[in-house]
Amino acid sequence: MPNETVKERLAHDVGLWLSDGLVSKDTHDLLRQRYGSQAFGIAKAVKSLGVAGGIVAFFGLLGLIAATSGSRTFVGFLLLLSGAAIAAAGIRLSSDKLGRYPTSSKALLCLGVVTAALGIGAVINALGANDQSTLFLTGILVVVPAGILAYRFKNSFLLYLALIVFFHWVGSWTDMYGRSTYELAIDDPRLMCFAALAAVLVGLYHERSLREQTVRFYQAYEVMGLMYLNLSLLILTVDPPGGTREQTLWVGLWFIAALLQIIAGALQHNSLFTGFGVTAMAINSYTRYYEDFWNRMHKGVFFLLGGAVLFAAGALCEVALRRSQRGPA
Amino acid sequence: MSVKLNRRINAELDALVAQDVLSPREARRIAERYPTTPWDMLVLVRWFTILGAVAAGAGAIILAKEYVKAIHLAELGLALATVGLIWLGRHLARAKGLVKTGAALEMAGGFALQGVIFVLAIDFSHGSKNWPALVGIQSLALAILAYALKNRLVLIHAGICFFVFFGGESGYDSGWGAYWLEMTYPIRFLAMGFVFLGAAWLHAAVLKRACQNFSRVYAHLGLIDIHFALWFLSVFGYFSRTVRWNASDGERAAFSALWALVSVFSLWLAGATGQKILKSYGMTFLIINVYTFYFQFVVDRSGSLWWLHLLLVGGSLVGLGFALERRLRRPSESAPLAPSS
Repeated sequence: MPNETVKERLAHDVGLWLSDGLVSKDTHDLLRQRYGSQAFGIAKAVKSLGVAGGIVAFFGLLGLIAATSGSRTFVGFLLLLSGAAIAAAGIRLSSDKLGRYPTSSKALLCLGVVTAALGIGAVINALGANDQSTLFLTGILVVVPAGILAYRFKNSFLLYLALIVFFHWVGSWTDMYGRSTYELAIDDPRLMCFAALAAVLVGLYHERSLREQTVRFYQAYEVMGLMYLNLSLLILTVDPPGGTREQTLWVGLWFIAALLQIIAGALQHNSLFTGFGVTAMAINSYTRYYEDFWNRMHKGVFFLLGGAVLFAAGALCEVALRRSQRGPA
Repeated sequence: MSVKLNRRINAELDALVAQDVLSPREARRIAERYPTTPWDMLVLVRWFTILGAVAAGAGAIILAKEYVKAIHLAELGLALATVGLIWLGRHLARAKGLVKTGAALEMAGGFALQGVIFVLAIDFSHGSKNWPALVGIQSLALAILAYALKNRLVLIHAGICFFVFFGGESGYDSGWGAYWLEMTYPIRFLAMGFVFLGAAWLHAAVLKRACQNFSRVYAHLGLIDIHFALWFLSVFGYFSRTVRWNASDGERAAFSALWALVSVFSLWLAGATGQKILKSYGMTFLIINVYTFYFQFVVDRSGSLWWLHLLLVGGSLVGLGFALERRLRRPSESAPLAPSS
């Protein structure tokens, strides 16, 4: 019989086999039973409820702080104490001897840390720090303890949270302007590129050397790192720091970065890299299609030649693949 | 590590063949997804050919707009390109075994067919300027081509044309750094989304092998339509052609709640059916919904108690997760104790 990792992966993929026409409905149903997909589904449902509840409650806490601007010190301490209590409850339940709360205790611990972090931020803000200093100081005080708790209790929610705080600390910012416009800004996208690359490298190290001890932590580093790397490069292509003279350079760099991500995905057998690379290349091409900076070169020639080269590379790869498959026979 | 895991999966596929659960052909096609070679070459083949064909098609259209003045020449050239690309694609797939390259060439043939229809419309125009109908005709022609060729990439192209025909539009404002998405008649999109989900189920469970792999395309199309429609309705309230900016608070709150319900139902359904796609859409759009709700109601009205609603709903969901897990993992009282070794 296959081990748990294989069963978990196949339970996950059987649905795709059906929708991609690789197996019939009857075979799909049989394989779902074989790999215990029912239990898999329930564990995922509990996890999803925890994540969904945590997200909703997080925005509720932000609203609480916004609504109580007159007594922020009091609210800050209240949140800090509540957060500590919730986190302690999460820790206690995660070590339940009957093992009844392995998933939901993680959501509780994460919510506790979020509540305490918001409390720290509110107190710092109430002491007179401006918004930027508040974010900077809160980041310093929160990222490390959150990271330690994440590793101690193998809590990937918390690691994602710590990484989001870290990237906001480096200089990321999001908002909703008016009724229907979402905004994203990065203070220094070049600096963010280095921070994001570092996160990707840490992820690769976890994937190769620490996977047994840290389970899926590598995914958190790789997802957040690749996301911020591509967002930073997107901003650099749209609004280059050196003005429009540098635009071609950043556009080219982003295409190369996307290409490298696709190649890294193929080399590492890692669909995360492939997915981010393909998305980055598609967004870069889509943006360039509408861009006005083409006065110095011909947009049509660029797309036709670039596309033809890429297509030829794909066709050559398939020829090589077919030859390698015929070779050993 | 992945290669190691893929080797184990390949061994399991061999076992499934030995037990007559899978046919050798099924196992071989599935095994292509779990390569044990140092490079996953299939990933490079798939994405280089698709991205290359789309980019080259866009480049050809830009150049044709600028340089091909003689309209009949364009019709002839595009018609020849349609036939030639499709023939070449099928030839490479059948004679040389280059299935992915062939499929991408057929998709490029679909782009050329779209071009033929555009040029013919210009040639025989009566001045109606009903361009959405033209895109609708292109979508239908591409869908027929997709079924004739049994090509999923052509069906995706048809789906994108359908989205535009039905009232969806997207673009980018150069100089503003702003991407935009527009939609008219979102209720129609919502209804059509469920029709597409039905088509996805039909292709997966009822129709046999030839078109079964169209199921995932319809599932994506259906889920995108449903979530985009609810997104627009939760931001603007009910509208048909043009959006409203005032007096829609109640509608926006109600549509936000409906959207959240759809997302949570989607998460549940993902567990029940094993379809990962439902979970991905459910979670992504739940986050977008709550983020939007926060700015629409909590930030905009910090004096009122919307944050308390979020705390209560969020806390309840976490509590529900706890209760569910406690119930499911409760040790059975009648179960015998494990022997101590």
